[in-house]
This record gives sequence, C-alpha cells and structure tokens, in this order.
Amino acid sequence: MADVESLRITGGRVYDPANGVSGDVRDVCLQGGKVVAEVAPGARRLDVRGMVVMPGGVDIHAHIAGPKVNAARKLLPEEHRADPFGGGPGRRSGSGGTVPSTFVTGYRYAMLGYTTVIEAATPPLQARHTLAELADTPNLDRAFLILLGNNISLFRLIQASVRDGGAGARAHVRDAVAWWLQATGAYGVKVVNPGGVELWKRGNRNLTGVDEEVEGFGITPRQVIQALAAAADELGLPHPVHIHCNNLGAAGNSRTTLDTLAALEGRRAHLAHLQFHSYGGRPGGRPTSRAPQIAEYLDAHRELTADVGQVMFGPATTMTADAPLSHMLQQLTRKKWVNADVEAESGCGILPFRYSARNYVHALQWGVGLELFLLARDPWRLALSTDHPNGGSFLSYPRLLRLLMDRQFRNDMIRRAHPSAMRRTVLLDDLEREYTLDEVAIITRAGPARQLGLSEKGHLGVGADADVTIYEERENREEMFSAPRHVIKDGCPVVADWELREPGPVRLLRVVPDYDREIESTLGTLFAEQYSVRFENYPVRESHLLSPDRVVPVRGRR
Amino acid sequence: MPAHDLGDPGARRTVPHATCMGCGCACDDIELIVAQGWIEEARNACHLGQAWFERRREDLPPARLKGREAGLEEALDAAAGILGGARFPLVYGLGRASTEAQRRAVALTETISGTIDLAGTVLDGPVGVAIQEVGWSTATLGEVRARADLLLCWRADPLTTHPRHFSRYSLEPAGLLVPDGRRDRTLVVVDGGRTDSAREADILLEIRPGWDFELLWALRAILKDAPVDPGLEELTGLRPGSLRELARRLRECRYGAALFGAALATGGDLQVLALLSLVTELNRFTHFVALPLREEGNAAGAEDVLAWQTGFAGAVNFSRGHPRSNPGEFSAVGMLERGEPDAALIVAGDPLAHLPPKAADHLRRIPTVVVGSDATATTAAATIALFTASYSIECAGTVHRMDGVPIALRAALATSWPSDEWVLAAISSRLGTLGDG
Repeated sequence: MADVESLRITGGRVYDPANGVSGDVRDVCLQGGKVVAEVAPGARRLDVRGMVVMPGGVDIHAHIAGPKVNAARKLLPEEHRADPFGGGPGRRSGSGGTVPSTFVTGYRYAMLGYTTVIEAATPPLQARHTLAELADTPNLDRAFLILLGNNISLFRLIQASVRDGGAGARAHVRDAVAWWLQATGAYGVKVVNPGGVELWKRGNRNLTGVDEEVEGFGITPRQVIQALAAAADELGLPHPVHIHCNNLGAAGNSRTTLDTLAALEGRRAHLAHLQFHSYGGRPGGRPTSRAPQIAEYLDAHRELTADVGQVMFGPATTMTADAPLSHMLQQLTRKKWVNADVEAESGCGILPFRYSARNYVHALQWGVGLELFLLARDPWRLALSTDHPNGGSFLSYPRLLRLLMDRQFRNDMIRRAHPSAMRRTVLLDDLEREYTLDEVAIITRAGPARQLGLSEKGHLGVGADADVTIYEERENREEMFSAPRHVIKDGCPVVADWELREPGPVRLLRVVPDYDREIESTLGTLFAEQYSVRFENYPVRESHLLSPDRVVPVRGRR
Repeated sequence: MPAHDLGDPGARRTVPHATCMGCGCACDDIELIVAQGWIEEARNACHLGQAWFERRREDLPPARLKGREAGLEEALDAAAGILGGARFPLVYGLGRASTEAQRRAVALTETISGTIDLAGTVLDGPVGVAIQEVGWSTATLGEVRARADLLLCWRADPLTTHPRHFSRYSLEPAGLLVPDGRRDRTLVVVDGGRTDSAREADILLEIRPGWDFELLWALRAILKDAPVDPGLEELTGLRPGSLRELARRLRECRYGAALFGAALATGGDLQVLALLSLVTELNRFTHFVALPLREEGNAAGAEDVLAWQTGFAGAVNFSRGHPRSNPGEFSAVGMLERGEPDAALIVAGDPLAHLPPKAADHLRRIPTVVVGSDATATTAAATIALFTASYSIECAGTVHRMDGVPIALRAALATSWPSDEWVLAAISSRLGTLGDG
C-alpha cells in the first residue's frame, strides 16, 4: 500500500465544525496517519487552492456486509449485470447496483469521500460472516452493531430481571450484553422491532406497541428497550443503544416512536432511520406526516440522536431484520422476497423496491425525511442516511445534499412529487432553509463521529485520524459531492485527481467491555437449550477476522 | 487462529467440540480422540463424519509433477506457469474448502481472467436460479429444532444423506415450542419409494417420478383456491384427496420446514422454484421455511464468498476484466463437455469421481493443477498435484453450514502440510496477484 510519510494540504477552505473551523483557508498537516500541527518544510504538498476540505465521511447506518446483505446480492444478479465494475492493477473487479459486491462497496464509498462506515445490523451468530465480508471491503474503517432485540437468551435474563427486580438480575443482562460484544468483535447494540420478530416466528404475527406482550416470555418491548439501553449506558459504550422502533412504516406510528422514547426515561439512545417512524394517520389508513412533532421531541431531548433514513426516488433494496415488515411488503407488492430466520436471535427480510415520486406513500416518505432535516435545530444530533440500501443507495447522498442545500432544486422536486402527499407536509410552506457547508460537514462527518463516540474521526484537529476529503467547489452541489477530487485515508491517497489509487490502511473498530465471567455458565445453559452450535465455538477468536483493529475504550460503569 | 491444545504428539488426548466437514450439517460437537499423530476416533460423528476424520492419509509427497514426486516450490512454479499461460482456464471444486481458501481462489481466478464454478451445483445451481426468480423463505437449523411441528421431506432422505439431521437438528430434539421432541412433530415424506427417512414418516406419499412440478404447483393452487386437475392424483400415484389433505396439514401447522435435496434439483430449477413458491405461499397462513440439504461441507461458503466478492453466486467468468455470470455458458460441467477450458485448477474436490464422461475426458486431456489433502482419481490424473492439510484435522478455517451459519474449524493436529489457502496465495504471488483489493 502507498505510504505517505507526511503531507501538507495547503490552500483549501477547511470545514471542521468540531473544532470551530468554518471555511477558513488553512493548511492541514498529516503525518504517520494522523493530523499533526506542523510538518517539515520539505514535506510533500497537495495544493488545493479553491477547494473545500473536510474530514472523511462517516456513515453511521448502512447495510454493507454480512449474511443479509449477501442474500440480497444473490437475489439481484440483474442489477449486477447492469452495473459491472472493472478491475485492474491493485483493484478487484465486481458488481454495483443497490447492493454492490464488497470491493465495489469500498471503492465507491471512497470515491464519495467516505472513510468510515458502520454496518448497522448483524446477527451475532453470523458475526464471522460479516467480519469476512468487511475484510474484503477496502478503504473504509469499519464497525458493526449486533442485533440483540429478539434474542431469546436475553429475553430470559430480562424476564428474570423484571420479575426479581434485583441488582443481580440486572447485572446479568449487562454482563450478557458485554459478553456478546466481546464474543463478536462488535461496536454496539442494535435493537430491531423488539419482540416483533419473535412473534413473526410464532405464526407470522407482529406487534405494534411497546406494551404488548412478547408471547412466551412475559415481557414487553418497553422492558427490552429499557434493559438494553440501561446495559449500554452502564457499560459506558461509546455509542448508545441503536433502536429501530416497533411499527416501522405504519400509518400513525409516531405514537409508537414517542412511546419508545418515553420508555427510555432519559437514557441515551440513537434512533435508526427516524423518517420511517414519523407518520401520522389512522392505523391501516393513509400515512401523514408527524415530522414536526418528532423533530421537536428530538430537539428537546439532548440525550437522543438519530439518523434520518431518507427515501430517494429510484431503485432501492429493502433489507431488514424486521422480518414481519418485509413480509407485509411482499404481500403488498408480490415481488420476490427472501425471509431468513436466525435461531434464537433474529430474522431477516429482503425485497427489491422502487420509490416513485408519483406514489402517495413514497412521496410522503420522501417529504417526511426532508422535513426532519429542515426542521431539526441541532444538526449535531441528526445524521444523514438513507438506511442504505433501504431508502436508496449511498450513491444518492450527493443528490440528497443538493436537496438540502439548494432550495430551488428542492422546490422543483416538491412540485413533481405527489401533490396530496406534499400537502401533508410543511414543505409546501417553502421552507427557506438551505444547509450550509458547515452543516453538511456536521451531518455527514462531525455529528455521526460524535454520536458514535469516535473521538479520532469526523474532525481535523491534532490527533485525528488522517482521513480527509477534498472537493472542488461547484454550484451544483450534487456534482460537487459526487466526485471529490482527493480522498485521503490514514494519510494515504485512496482517490487522487478523481481516480482510485491503491487502497489505504483500514481497521475494525470494536469495543471490549468487561463482564463477570460467571455469566458464561448462565449463557452456556441457555445456549444448550436454544442454539444448534456449541457455546464453546460461538465466540470469534480468529485473528485474521478481528485484526487489524482498534479497541475503542468504554467509559466504565455509570 | 488458536488451535486446540496440540500437546505431546505421542500421547492420547481428547479434542472437544470439533467441527466436521463430512456433509453440509457441519456438526460442531464432535469429540476427537487423537493418538499416534492421527484421529483414532470421532465420537458423536455419523458414518460420514467418521469417514472424514478417521481416514488415514497414505504417505504423500509435497507434490506430484506429471506423476513423479516433486518439491513444493517446483510444483508451485509449474502451477503458475500453467494457469498464467492458459487462455480460458477453469477454477472448479471448492465445496470442501474453507472460506479463506475460497476467497483466495476467487482472487486467483480474477488474476488469470478465468472462469470459476462450484462443484456441488447439482443442487446449488438450480436453487440459486430459483431464488433469483422468486426468492425464498428459510431459516437456520436451530429454528427448526426449536419450533418446527411439521417437517416435509420432498424427495429428501436425510437419514441417508445427512445422518444426524433428524437426531441433532430437525426431528428428535426437544425445543422451545416442541418440548416433547419427536412426539410434538409430524414427519411428512413425499418420495418415490421407501427410503430410510420414509420409514420414519408419520405420513408417506409415494409419487411417481416426473410429476413433482405439477404436484407442487397444484398444492399452491389449492392454497389459492384455484382449480386443480382432478386427474392429477391418479396420474402421480396418489390416493384421491391426498393433495387437499396435505395442503390442509401444511397450512394448519404452527411452523413448517420443507427439506429438499439434490433429487428435486436434478429435475431442473423449475421444480425447486415450485417448492420455494409453495413455501412462500404457505406464509399467508402460517410460518413456513425451506432448507436445502447440501452435501458438501462448505458448498454454502463457496457460494457466499463468490457472491460477496463478485455479486454472483456461481458460474462466474472474468475474461472481460469484470465478473459475468451465466450458468448456461460458464457452468463447469457444460464448459468441460464442450471442450472449452484449456487448463483447470481444482481445489478440494475430486471431480473425476462424479463428472459425466465427456466432461471427465476433457478434464483428463487438459493441463490441470489439483490442490487438496487426499490422493484421488483427480490427483492421479493431474499434471500437477499439490497436497495440503486436511480441514478440521490439520488445518483451521471457517465453514458455512448449509443453512449459512459460519462455524470455525480448528486444527486438532500439528502439521507441516501447507493449507489450500497458503498454496493458492503462493501461486497468486507468482502470477503478480491483484491482491486483496
């Protein structure tokens, strides 16, 4: 791999909101893979006069690696035939589309200026698969979240904790969560439709409210959310519990979302793809927008963060651990559908999709996402995402940025979208807001890094990782953001003059929280009941899957 | 990768929870008794697992070059020469290799602008095509163990092909929602005759060959209240009314699992598609999944690796510098039958033992590089044979169980044999590899 000893990036307008830098023309100095205060006079120089310099992009929620993503790849050869990606010296070939092959995922994210991506949902039983795919994904520092919200062993521990109410039972839940994070190489805890996937397995049912009972366990989604949020907090995880609420996509589900948030009782949480959870309307009827209310709640609760999950018109692939949701989409659309139950832990549903501006529901979804972006007062707590590829490919991020930054373009698009849907939003009030470059740097870099607790990402202060993206300034913001001129990863140029270069150094970001070893015998018993693999074989210990890595410290007991 | 404690090679010791590659079940509860530098006994293993673990490897040289013994370096150089000089090379096998070796194999295929196809495609090819058309509903084995109260074996005989399937995973164990194990489950077998599994059935439907598509389609029609040819049952050898009765049972179970294997797929992908469509339809009424009975220990892994690295699960060609997949054009068996490849790399497989005659003849004619742990008919006919460590015995790695669960293999014995992964990497580096991206 190319090794750049030291580099002075000179003359660019730097946007580093974490350090209060907003368009100042200043140098950025890199050495040994880090941002440094100064480099020697003879150091290599990269002249970027007239260009915009930002930290490397951080995608807090995308589906890029693992068994679910791969099942989608196998479902969509037609997309891959239509979008081949040629190889060359130092570059593997592959396929694109909405679910690219792993090498192409890494190259195309890099070509968009991203240097860190979080895989949003892996069943812990299949962590080895996710890790192997990540190892074949170049140019990106990576992390993944493990699905714990329909985990039968945890249900049992939470049930005991609710029944006994004692500190001992609560500690078991916390120790089990820590064990799972250590055993898989994961970065954080993901909860998807807690309890709902269990009901799916029990006769294709679902639940829609946080106080409905999860059959067979005598607990509710509220209790699951509280237990896992508490565990994440008490372990001092850098990223709080990451929640895909019950009742995604349904009319009136903003009620469920607000109930979920109330259940947290002030604990930290990150809300996944908030757009899909912000609807009004009668259950079973047409959805309407409750984005203003959700945005207001988010603003008022500083312990909460969210990514938007914007829908973009065009092709998408829905892939989710929310298996009953996926089945519902299959019943509606009759498209080819993959369902894959994962024993004792999770589920998975995949369905190819297309969002159309002329469709009421899709247009409303598109509108709700934009409302969330435009109404949010604190960009530090609202990350840009499309829940790739559920709302659209990550390749649509530049167009999304243009919608946020260019009111005229946005209004043109609003005029083309389903008029009734637009009337249900506040977009027709001609929201004047245009995102500034500062704010863009926040929602695509600085904010997500902070939300993830990654102190060396998302900024260009001394000590930060030398991940830098340099854009030529263009009036058409979609053009500007779709082709950074230079992208630097760990001080190495991975894109130079718009072209892919040799891949840069990458690492797995993970947490290794302590736990009381006693939990292993409890889990061993639960495993023998629930799993078809041996407890002893479950934890990932293979160094070729876990390294190179960076263990991000936990903050200790809270 | 931490191995089992290898200890004193002379002493007898037990190696617990080892993973077997005898079939697609990848049972990971095997207890190995190691003595005299080899596996003396594999406890808990079925006869396939015992054959896997307890085989004695004859005295093998590091390599053979056109039949004579050769050193490793010489053989690697010659292998790179053959593969690098070929215009239309084929990479084949891989169903019994680790995912680490499979990743190297795909990279190597790209370097030589070759074609890669996976052995075991009797089942896997048609299943892959069917899934691309209609999708499917499936589950990991532990779900079946925990919840399934109805098992449908359609032309599947797990007792023969996957001997511990019923006992460890699908029929006999007690589970979360089937506390009485076997008594809480109903086994329905639909097959041509009295197989071993058929003898276990609670309900047996014997059908004539050649009507599987129609029967599966008719079951789906019954579920959709669509008309069904009243003469169909008689044509297929079924008692009148038995189809409606079967449809009722399928619809009214709590959690159904359909097991199917190569026999369904030999009829082509339409038969598999019909079964998968039926299972999807059943999900309007109840929870139903389909599970393939893959025979090779890591056929699932090979497909997974190919899909994540290229975007396609089989029959992938790199001649144009990017992956193209077309089963009709790039399936190994077809290519060999048409005499197209001018060289081949075989990894962890013995294709000469099962290829149709015309394909086998062509494979014998062209220069071949064969990488694997055992002396086989294919290594005997090889231009270059490179012998490697046995998985789960001498060599670690990852295998994907046939339901997609990744399981670690660990080495039970110390060895000086190189792994498949190492050999493929060594060949690649002689070719000026594209690297890992």
